Amino acid sequence: MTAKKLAAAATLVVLALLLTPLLYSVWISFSPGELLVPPGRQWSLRWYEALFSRPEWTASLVQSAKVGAMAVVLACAGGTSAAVGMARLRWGGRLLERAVMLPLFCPAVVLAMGLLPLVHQLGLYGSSLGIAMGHALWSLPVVVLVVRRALDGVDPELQRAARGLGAGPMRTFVWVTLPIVAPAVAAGALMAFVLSLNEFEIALFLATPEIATLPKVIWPNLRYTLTPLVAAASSIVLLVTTLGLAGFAFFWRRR
Amino acid sequence: MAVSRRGTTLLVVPALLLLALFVGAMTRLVRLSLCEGAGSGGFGLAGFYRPGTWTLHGYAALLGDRYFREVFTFSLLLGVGLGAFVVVAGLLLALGIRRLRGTARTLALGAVLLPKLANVLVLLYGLELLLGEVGPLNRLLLAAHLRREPLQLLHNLPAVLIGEGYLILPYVVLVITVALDRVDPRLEEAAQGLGAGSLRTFAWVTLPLVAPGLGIAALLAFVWAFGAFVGPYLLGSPDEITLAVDIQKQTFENLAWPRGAAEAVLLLGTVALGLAFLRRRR
Repeated sequence: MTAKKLAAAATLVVLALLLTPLLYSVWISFSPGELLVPPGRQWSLRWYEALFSRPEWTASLVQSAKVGAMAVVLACAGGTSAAVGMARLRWGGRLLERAVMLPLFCPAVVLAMGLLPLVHQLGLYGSSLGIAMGHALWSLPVVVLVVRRALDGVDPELQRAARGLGAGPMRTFVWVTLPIVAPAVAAGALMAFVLSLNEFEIALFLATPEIATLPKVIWPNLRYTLTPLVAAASSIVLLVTTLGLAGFAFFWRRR
Repeated sequence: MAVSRRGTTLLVVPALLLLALFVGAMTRLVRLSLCEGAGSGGFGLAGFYRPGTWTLHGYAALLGDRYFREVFTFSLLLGVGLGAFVVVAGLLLALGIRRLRGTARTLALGAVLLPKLANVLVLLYGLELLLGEVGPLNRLLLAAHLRREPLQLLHNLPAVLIGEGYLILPYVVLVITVALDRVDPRLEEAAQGLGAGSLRTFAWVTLPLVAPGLGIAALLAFVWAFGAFVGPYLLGSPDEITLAVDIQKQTFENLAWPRGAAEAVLLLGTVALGLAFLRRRR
């Protein structure tokens, strides 16, 4: 029994250690001073005000939201369609299953390095779409996994009934399958947004100053800004991410 | 079902488009690595290389470059060493989480996921704050008179290992947790009922059952440690330059796109070797 308690305690300690860097940086973001020390009795929102008064930072927030929205649309369309294909096609499905997992095994910098000449060639360099496409590739495996598990739970009789009543595969998909897997698609969408919001390497390679996402703006400041400003920016990203994760859990349970 | 073929094919088009993008990026990467460099004056519509040229110069230069060999060796050691460590740590943590039930389990998985989903920069920034010269760890050491001067905890190998470990552990824990979920607890109970101790049950029943999942986790850990970028860049010194860091430097500081691409191809080739090795073992 004591061994079990020890194991539980060790697990808790490791989990706490995992969260410490994030929480410490949130704590520091409320500092009233210029130094990187956590606030004592006095907490202040001055670094959040400073953040929102600088056009460079606000523009990057807007840009991150824009790229994220585009990536969500692309990843959900691609991911849902791949999941459906896997369920309906025989050998093509197995091939798809392997193919969509490939980006997971490709280090981010390699993918970014490959996208760089491609995006140039397609004339998309300097556009939000170029970055969003990269992000969509990155979150494709996640959306596929989530939607596939939901599809497994769909009663095949329902689809057969729709077919028997004369609906084509496209109509069956839109009116029967899609409404059932909608919560899973929503969960996948939230995850795709969170992944895009936090993605850094592709943005570093593909973003020009005009379309810099939040991580790309944080990057130079990380090394040269020795005030809690970056901590404030981090906290905002963290808040959105946590909300996204909670939303994901909500939709995942409703499945 | 024969009638539905065309409709189903139409449904798969968005997925195929995205995959074409991936294939396109990888083909462009290989093609770019075979182009001549253009130097800093060569920025055209296409980027910093001479389109249409064919040369093996990029690879030849890499193989003859001592600096590159050092970078490659360091990355490989980091991939194998850190990867192995993280898999063991991840297995222990996943076993711990497995004992939890209900909300505690959901929260634990959330705590594992958050650092991974949160921006890598945010996580490393927090680590920098914690380990920095005015950070709490050093202030504690000074206050306790254990040290006279602050300990240099950043910009060295341990910092890189800690930072990159933080980034890889969550995914590994998730993959192993999924594998452990599939293990039928009745098998373990049966082993214990037949007189095996918990350690023996784990080694002879649980471990073989999760081995495929562990293999995937190990491969992912290797891929990410081998391709480590942000950790070594932010928390390392010039002694801890990895392939990924060098790819970024070659591309954006030296404007040598073909060389960056050639390094990326070698990185990917090594990963593919790892994947093939794992599949043969199965």
